[in-house]
Amino acid sequence: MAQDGNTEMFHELVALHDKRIMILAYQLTQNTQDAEDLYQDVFLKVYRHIKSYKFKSDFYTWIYRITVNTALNQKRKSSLLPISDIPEYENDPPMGWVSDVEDSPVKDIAPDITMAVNQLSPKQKTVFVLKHFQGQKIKEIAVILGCSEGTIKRYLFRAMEKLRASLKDVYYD
Amino acid sequence: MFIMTDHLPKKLQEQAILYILDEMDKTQRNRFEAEVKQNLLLQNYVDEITSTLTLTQPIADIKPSQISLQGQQNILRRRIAQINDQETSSPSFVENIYTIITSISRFRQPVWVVITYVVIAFFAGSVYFSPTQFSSDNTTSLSYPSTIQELIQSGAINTADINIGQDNSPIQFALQSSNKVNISGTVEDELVRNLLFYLLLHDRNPGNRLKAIRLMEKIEPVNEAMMVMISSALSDPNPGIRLKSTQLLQQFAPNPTLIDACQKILLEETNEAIRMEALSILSSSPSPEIASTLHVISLMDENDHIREQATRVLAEMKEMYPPQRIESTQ
Repeated sequence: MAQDGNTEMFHELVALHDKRIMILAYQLTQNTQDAEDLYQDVFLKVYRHIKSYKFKSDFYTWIYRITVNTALNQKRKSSLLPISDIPEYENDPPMGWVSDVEDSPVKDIAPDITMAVNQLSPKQKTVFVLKHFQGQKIKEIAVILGCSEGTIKRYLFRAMEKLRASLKDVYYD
Repeated sequence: MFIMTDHLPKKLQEQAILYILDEMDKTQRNRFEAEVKQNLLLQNYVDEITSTLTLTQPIADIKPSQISLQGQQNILRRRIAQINDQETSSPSFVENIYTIITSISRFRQPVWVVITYVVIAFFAGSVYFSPTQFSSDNTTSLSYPSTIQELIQSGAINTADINIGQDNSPIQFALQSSNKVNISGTVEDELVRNLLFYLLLHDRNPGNRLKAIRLMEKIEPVNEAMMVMISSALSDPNPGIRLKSTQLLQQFAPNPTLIDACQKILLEETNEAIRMEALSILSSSPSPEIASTLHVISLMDENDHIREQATRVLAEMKEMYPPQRIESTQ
């Protein structure tokens, strides 16, 4: 078992879950380099702490919790060294990544959309991503982030309001 | 048509979001749908939120290619293998302490031998050997030194200079006393490494110490280098050197000695940047043993960011470990 320190089993576990985690990492960071760093950090943490994983919670909940906490920590660190807000994703997906949807009608405005999502606060963005992109229920997000459902709803409402205001011009054009 | 949906009551806005995001039960949905039919403003708000979500959908559709994922899996494999190698080769805590003591005693020579000054002087036309090369202007009085102890005891290090070439060229040391010795080599050479360790810990010239720590960046993360870096991070009078030493400690897999040192830095260091680096090392592998230190830091550190970061790591630990493991250390 991976919990007994079996490295090969651990890598099998990674192969089962890593696509989902990489997608979440990209949605949280909007940058492939940051997403790959996050992927590595998360699985190294999982490797070091897998013995402490109790089967009380869903494995995904546990690994999602590690991913969002690590992303929030990375965001906090990077805020000390401001980086460009220019989104990496312009009209086509970044190199090494693919889009499920060919010729999306909103392809041309992808940078505006990415920019709008990036303007959310880290917590608002995390909740929005988990809810809308990952399809988690508010109850599950509350467990992942260790907050009450009321707090999650407040982040979600603020995120939706900010996005609606930012993208209003886009969908009225 | 542009309708001022901003005037819609907050409660209805929130219900609309929950409705669209499928967070209502059947009764709530029916009630809300009835309300929508009667309220044009609400209808428009629902349309706006739906359009907003549709617009953001392309972000959710981006996925890593199989090749890119495989590449990341390979990197992860290498990193885990490295961790496992370090763990199997890293000595126990008692052995670590023994190593520190012996490394210190090895450098602490009797007063008459202790080097008080290391001065920089480079000799033109030095003859270099490979991989580590020596030349002496007075070869009759000094056999070529092969260890750092011999260099110290011979009194060769009265003055020293470090010359750093391009990336792949050797590091050149010139040591001057009654015997003039030139040493040239790379960080793979044991004597060069030991000389760098010695200079970092003993040279009075902060410029030399800074050069030494920068060169140590190229050294493989071996235990001996870690001990020297810890010593420098804890005791160098120059904050820039302490910072660089602490930064370099990031490359080592967490182990009891490193964790103890980082806790000491976090509690005693006056420079905020250095404390941040130490906290960053501890955050990379939070274990219940550091909970009490983090608890103190989360309450007492004068820097907002460090307090917040410590609180965050503590919260992360609470998610990973049973509460009794964390509380027992606080």
